[in-house]
Amino acid sequence: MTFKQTRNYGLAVLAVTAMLGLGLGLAPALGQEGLARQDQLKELTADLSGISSRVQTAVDQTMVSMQNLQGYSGDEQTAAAFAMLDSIEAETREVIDKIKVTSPFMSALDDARATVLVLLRKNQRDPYSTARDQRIAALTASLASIDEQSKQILAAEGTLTSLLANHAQMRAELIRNGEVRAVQAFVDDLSSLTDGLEQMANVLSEISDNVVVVPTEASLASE
Amino acid sequence: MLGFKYQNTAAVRPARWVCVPAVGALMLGLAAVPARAQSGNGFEAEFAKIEAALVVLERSVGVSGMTDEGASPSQVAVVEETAPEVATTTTPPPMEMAEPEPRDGFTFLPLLIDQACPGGLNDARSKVDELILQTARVEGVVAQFGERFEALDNRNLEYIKDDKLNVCPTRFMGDLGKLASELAEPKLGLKIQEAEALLVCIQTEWLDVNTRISDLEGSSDPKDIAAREALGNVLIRWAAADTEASRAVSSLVFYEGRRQRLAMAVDRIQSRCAILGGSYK
Repeated sequence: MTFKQTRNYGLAVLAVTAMLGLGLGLAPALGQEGLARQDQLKELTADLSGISSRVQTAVDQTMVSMQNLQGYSGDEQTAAAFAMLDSIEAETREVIDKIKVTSPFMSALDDARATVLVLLRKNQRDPYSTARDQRIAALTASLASIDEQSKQILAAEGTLTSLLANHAQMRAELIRNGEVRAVQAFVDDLSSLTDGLEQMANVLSEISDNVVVVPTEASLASE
Repeated sequence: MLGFKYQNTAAVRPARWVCVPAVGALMLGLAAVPARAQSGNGFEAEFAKIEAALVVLERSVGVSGMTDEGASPSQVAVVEETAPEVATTTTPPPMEMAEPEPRDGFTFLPLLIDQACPGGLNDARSKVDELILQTARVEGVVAQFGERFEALDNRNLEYIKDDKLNVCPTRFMGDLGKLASELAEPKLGLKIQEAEALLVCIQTEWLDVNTRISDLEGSSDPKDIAAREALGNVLIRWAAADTEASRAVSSLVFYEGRRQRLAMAVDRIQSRCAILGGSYK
């Protein structure tokens, strides 16, 4: 799209949103864009929910495998241990990819934050009215919710990276020993990793249950 | 189609699809199709007609600073004689602006209070267009930072998994250091401050026109009705500038937030490398 086309496109859209703004007696609305952003966040949080369920399933399967480990022979134990590590590692990487700084989810969340922040400041500059205070309250609540989610995700990413490092140490030990050193010790170590991953799955699940509401000028006006 | 809305920035900012609502399309005489799909020539011709009609309406109620490249040369000449584009106002002081609370992420600098406002709508439009171009440039830089970080982050995760590697490779550390120092460079806070000052000017004009319309409401005098309609069209143009400027400011805030997050993430990797006197794990 050329710049002129872009400008024309932008003006056409904005003229329409301004019409909506006129009808509402408020600042120009970003209605359609807001809805798109909200839909996108919903889609991405649903995606996180799917990952969370899958991680939970992988953890459960690993637990079952660990219980069966005692019944295997030495080589079988080693092979089973590597398979479990592979599975947990793959899940860990998948979750990291979903929540890392440059992931679509974090981009959507940060984008929502930037938009809400600018909208909040615009409303703070508006002349005083009860409606304006209500809009400010809604935007402030939204911003707090976005910040809380960002905080949780950053913490989760750090924990997962540590898990990956611990995981590598276990794998190295398995390679060095050539067999599962002591089944009980391995099971104990792996349990701590699966616990960590399970905790992350719960964080993702919690986040996906609480889709951030991103107010727009249109939605604020209609409320 | 993501990211800064005017560029192909999928890697940076989430997508935003915008459709023109049918009601607006009817009012403007445009086809009700997704705006991005509008074909250039037909759309521009329609747009030029609407622009020209708006200029005539604006002039009929004595609105200043309404020149536009979409109007005919004679129309532009008339407006230029009566309303030269000069900056006559300054950024108004913030209205009950709360002090920004320090939060995780970007914090605004105080609003500029002595910056000259655009001399009229045409001037405002060109400043908004300039802001959009600046934002696109920022987007390019931040997108590149993101790509470089992603490559380093992937290497970092590989190193974490590699038990033979217990010290961060020198070259990797060098790449991290280079990115860290480049991430510290852009002074986006000042750009955002200037952009927000422009937004305040536009918002003030917008509110002013809105107030004038409200003052005319209820009057059945044909002159007031005509003035109200004409001001409505002026309002649309200020609203367009307001929305685009808001979008550009929010894009800049997004890119600044992204820059800060990347800087923190690089710092975390460097710290991990530094643990145990340079041992990686």
